[in-house]
Amino acid sequence: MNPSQIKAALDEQGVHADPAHVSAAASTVNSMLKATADRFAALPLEAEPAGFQVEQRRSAP
Amino acid sequence: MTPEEILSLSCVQLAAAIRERRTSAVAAMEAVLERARRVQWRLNCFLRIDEASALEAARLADRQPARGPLHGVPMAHKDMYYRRGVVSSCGSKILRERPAPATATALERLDAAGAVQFGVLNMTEFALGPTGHNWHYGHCRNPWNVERIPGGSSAGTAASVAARANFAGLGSDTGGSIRLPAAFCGTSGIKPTYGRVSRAGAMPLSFSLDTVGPLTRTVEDAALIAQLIAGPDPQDPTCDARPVPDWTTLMNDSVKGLRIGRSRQYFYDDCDAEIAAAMDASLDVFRKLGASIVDIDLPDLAVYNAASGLISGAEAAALHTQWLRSRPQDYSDQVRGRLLQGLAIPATSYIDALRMRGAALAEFCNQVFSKVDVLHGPVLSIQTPSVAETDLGWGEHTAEVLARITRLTRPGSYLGLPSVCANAGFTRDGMPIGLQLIARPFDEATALRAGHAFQRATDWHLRAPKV
Repeated sequence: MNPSQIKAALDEQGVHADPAHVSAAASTVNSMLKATADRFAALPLEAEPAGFQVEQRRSAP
Repeated sequence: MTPEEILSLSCVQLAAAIRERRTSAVAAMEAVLERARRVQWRLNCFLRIDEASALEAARLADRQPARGPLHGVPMAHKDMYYRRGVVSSCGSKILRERPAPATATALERLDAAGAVQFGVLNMTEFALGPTGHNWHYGHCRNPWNVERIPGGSSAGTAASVAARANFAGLGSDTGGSIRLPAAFCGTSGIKPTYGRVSRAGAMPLSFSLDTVGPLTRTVEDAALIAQLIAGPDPQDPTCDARPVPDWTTLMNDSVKGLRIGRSRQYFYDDCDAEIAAAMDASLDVFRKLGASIVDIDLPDLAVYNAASGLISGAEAAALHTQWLRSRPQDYSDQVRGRLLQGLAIPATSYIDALRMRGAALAEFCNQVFSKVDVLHGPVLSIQTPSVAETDLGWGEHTAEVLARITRLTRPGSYLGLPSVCANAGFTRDGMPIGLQLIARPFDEATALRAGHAFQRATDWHLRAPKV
């Protein structure tokens, strides 16, 4: 996402942002999306958030 | 006992002294109130001190039979634990006049154990930031050097406990907010397993990651307080139903034969040399106690770190959208900037971060806890930054500075794992160095056992700053 897209997304939600905030948001969000992209792409169809609680119980001593 | 002798005690020691009539709840309260008054102008760790009501409650405690294991022990907590009808500012301007709708389960349980609350503590606005800065009420300061940050968001809890102006207090941890200030200020603390302690009546930041836990002088105190507040709660649907083991007994077991994992990856990438040396020295302590140190490989924690940021960013932004629209000027610049970025996170990425969490936990447990009982590492890979170098408006540089602080704590938040922190020494310029002991889900007992054994063999946790 580039800063213009970020600004548009914020405007659409009725939230004003300074240019420095928009630029930082673009950098931070892009960095998080880039770091997770491959793993997210490999998620199986059946993976769902509740899998975390299942795994917590399974891994507990 | 003299006030100085009282203030040197841990919660467990003070409760015993009150029980055995070697001192009184009133004497403890008077000592801590005097100390709090003395350090407040330098540290700004308290947002409110309720002197009259605290002394009255202490007098009542001295007249009553012991109510529980913390009978008569003065405590102050991060200002985000609600008491019905009382304002909890959450470090914000926005909530500074709103009476809380209900009392937090954690506070009810501490009340039932006999603790006496005497104030509320400074924190990062809405618990959103790792430095401890607060632009509405003034920055909290590190008692070891007031020009350095105390860490956040539970800044006041760590600073007051370290300065002996509080015996222990609640913090909260979403991405490191107990572990980081504990490390920066040299206190102990525990971030419990996600779901172990009720979040009911605690200000939410990111409901998938928020955890409640204490910052304390000793790991023994952390075990006691965590045990008192943990366990099922119908008020919090995410709170796990399993019974809480007797951690205060289990932590006394020997660590002989315990397998402690160390990974040279991630935790030691660009790690400060003094911090790395302190970690090596702490591992030597464990070796001498009979534990075995096992080198292990970790999964890619940078992915977990980023996934944690996606979840906390999106959830925090959702909670604050209305105020970001209607009262943007009432947020500090740094907090508003951090919240805004959450509004730009795609919904599918947020959901994918949650979908990946089960597989990530399985991967981590298979890779780490199939080989070791507990993972050891530093809380921070950098030395304590100054207040000045982190007192910044929001921008790309600030985001990078803050990301360096939370890098070693956010993966554990994503995985919901319990982590015990303890002071492992000091840098050459006198700042504390914190270690963390991470265990498998709901295995706080093992992390507490290791932390307690470390403190029985060392005296780092007994040192107090000269404020």
